[in-house]
Amino acid sequence: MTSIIFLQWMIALSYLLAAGLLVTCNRWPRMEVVAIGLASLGLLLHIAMVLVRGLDSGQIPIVTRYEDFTVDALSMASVWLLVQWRWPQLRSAGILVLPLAAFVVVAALTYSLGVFPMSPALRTNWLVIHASLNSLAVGFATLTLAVGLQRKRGSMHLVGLLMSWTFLFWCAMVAAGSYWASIAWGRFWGWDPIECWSLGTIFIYAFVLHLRMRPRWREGYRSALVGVLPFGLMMFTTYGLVFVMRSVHGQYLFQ
Amino acid sequence: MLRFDDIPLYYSMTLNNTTPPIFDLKVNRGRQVVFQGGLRPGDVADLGAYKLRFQGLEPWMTFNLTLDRGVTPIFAGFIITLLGFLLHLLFWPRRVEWMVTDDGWVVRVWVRRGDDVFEEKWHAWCHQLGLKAA
Repeated sequence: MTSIIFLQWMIALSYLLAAGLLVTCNRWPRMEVVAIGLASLGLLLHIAMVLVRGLDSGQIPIVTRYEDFTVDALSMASVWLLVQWRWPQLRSAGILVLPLAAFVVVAALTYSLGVFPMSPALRTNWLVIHASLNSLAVGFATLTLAVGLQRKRGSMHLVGLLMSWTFLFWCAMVAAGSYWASIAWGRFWGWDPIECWSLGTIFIYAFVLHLRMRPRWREGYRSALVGVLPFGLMMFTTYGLVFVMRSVHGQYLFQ
Repeated sequence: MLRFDDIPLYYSMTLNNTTPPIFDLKVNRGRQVVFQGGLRPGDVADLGAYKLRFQGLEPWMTFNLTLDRGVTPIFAGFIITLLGFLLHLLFWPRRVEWMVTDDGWVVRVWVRRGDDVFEEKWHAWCHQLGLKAA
């Protein structure tokens, strides 16, 4: 238990240090490589920790709130690392993404590290697909927010693309969850609070993506402003909703 | 949350799905570990001011009676739309046309969605070849 807490802090520290080094890149450009190396090291530790957790618990480690936070942080860091490889101009977004990932890794420790066995009806591969797509959407949404808030010339046109991928993963997550529900509970859609708010998040993302077709909403402070709205809604749906409303997802996400 | 002399008892618990089921429980009071161990059905954990008995597991069943005939086509439509959106994100259609006129070759190119990088590269390429970019 203590080693996991130590490892989790080490991962957070490596992400924070990498973000700190990225800040100094304007002055010392070579620090960029060190920052990426450090973030990659943190990511490797992170992946190893999640794998060990999965082997220990005998199920995909994305069920409890602790596991959800840990895997979402993993997704944030890995999405940034992959995307900055394709578009180096997005590297500086790590200044926001990596501290957020570090915060989420540490925040995970505030929840129980115990294992919550899922009921047999829920233990299908759709759990893996549904939960992974959710984490991917959170990873892309965080990067989109970071790029949007930085408002750097030469990367603003990528906000729309990243947001589109976020939208796609989120919609696919809802579809996978819906299909899973049809198998496990006998209905595609039950108007559960999390289902309703997920649908609301889809509508808001679709609205913002359409709004971005107008040039004046594509750049400048307006773009950053409308980028925050769907992200905030997604965060509330994923993390906040089970605290204020009873949901079938709360059975395991509260653990 | 349980409190004992105004000090909260923090607990973590895990139910291991073995035969018989084992309920792993760890209870802390401040920094002191009050109880740590596995409980089998019928076992009691002594937490000082409290006692916790693991009575066992009861099988249960839930019935859901639903009628949602229209949902399957809606779901199928949602999946098809999603696949279409995926294709839209993976492939960026670009169209190039060229024709010979009295003035020479005319090349026209356009993209079907906002691709600023492509436009930038196209202009750079035209500049490199000494062509006039439209």
